[in-house]
Amino acid sequence: MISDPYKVLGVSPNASDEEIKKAYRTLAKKYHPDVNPGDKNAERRMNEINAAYDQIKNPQQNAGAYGGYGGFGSYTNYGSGSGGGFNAGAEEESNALRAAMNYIRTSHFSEALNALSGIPAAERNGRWYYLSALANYGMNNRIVAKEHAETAVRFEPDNMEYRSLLSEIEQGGNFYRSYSQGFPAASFAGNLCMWLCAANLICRLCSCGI
Amino acid sequence: MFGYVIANTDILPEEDKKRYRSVYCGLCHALKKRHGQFGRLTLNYDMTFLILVLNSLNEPEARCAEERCVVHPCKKHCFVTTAISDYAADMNVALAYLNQLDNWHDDKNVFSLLHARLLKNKYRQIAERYPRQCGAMRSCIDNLSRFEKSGVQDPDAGARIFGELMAEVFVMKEDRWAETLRAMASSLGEFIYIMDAALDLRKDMRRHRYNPLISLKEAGRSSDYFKDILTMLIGNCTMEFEKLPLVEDVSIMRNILCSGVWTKMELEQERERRKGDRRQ
Repeated sequence: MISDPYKVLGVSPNASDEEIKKAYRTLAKKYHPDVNPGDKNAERRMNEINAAYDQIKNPQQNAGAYGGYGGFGSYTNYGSGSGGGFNAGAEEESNALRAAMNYIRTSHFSEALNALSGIPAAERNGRWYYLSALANYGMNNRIVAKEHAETAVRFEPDNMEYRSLLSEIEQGGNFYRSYSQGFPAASFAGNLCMWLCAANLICRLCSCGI
Repeated sequence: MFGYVIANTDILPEEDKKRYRSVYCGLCHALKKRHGQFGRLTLNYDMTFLILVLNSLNEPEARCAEERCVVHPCKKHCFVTTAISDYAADMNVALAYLNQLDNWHDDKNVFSLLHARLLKNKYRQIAERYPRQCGAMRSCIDNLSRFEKSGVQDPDAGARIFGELMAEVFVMKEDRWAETLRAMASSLGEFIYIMDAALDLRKDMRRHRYNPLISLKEAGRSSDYFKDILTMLIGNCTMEFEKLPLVEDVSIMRNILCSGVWTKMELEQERERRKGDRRQ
């Protein structure tokens, strides 16, 4: 862990995203091993620069979280950290739900889904949908994960655990809504026919190639 | 692929527009040089995004030149080629070959078979050079076709299969950015798969053809629902994209991710609107 990654990159802690990327590129070009073959000092600097960049851009990955989309890490240690909330209802919880939870904790997501599928549709409660959302999220089943997390929240609107899972699943979408502001959609003010022809042409070129 | 990963040139500054075109022309040039006229027929805009990302990430030596070509015979225009345009050209031809072969198996389209035959030798060479990527393409196309034949309604699974293909294509070499590129590209692939299904939904339902979104549609999901899903998927993609240290051409790539990827959907909606107006 670097104590001050901003200092390593030579930017101020309130530097913009662009400034950080530019600084990284400039330094990476200077210390790249291809430019400095055999130079141990440059190699050490390059590692430091890489580590500093990662620390700023992927804080979760650096904390040793679950890979892929980063954020999932907060859920893999679920249960040990969340304490009472879960255990309080543990007695009533069916064996199937408990089994699913244990599978999720150890990242055996398809086994978790298997355990969950044993519960008949009529008995599926908020907890079931929450666990199903977690397991599906772990398997990268984005659409079902979102839908089940939403259902879980509908069952128990005050459950913070369910809400935080849903907001994590929707993180990308929420990020995008503000990110893409200022980019108007394509307009087809002119001749729509021409646009359709162009689109069809592109389509033909790629999928049929003829 | 499907022509979704394109820029919205209406809002692209003149400078960027020129640059975007020159990279695209560079791809066309690389296709012609490496794979001949039949290779050139596989040209599409989607691969331009791949070139922009990998160029910006690796900053390879670039060659700029001017020439006339068949598509733009009147005016000389400049094109930019790098080692990455060559890579993208190879990926493009391999994808087109497997795609045409698949079209032939599924629909018995003779033109597809013909085009596939013409690309066969090229494909062999490419598969030898890039076994990881071509292996991923092959298993993606096989898995998707098996999956669609089974008729299972599981959009996540289909999207994931296509995402895996994109992930391998975007990783030209295993370096420290490979995992972020895979995460970015697999989300992009998921987006493309669902977008393609959403736009074909009406037609596929009418013709009783497979579409992974039919059961969601029949359960009463609106087009806003699909837009919401697509926003989530492209959102995951842009979050990973922004983790990469990309400076050069970043404005063009953001234009593609924020606006261009919606072009076909906007077009479809506009068409529906105009149809509605006429009926009134």
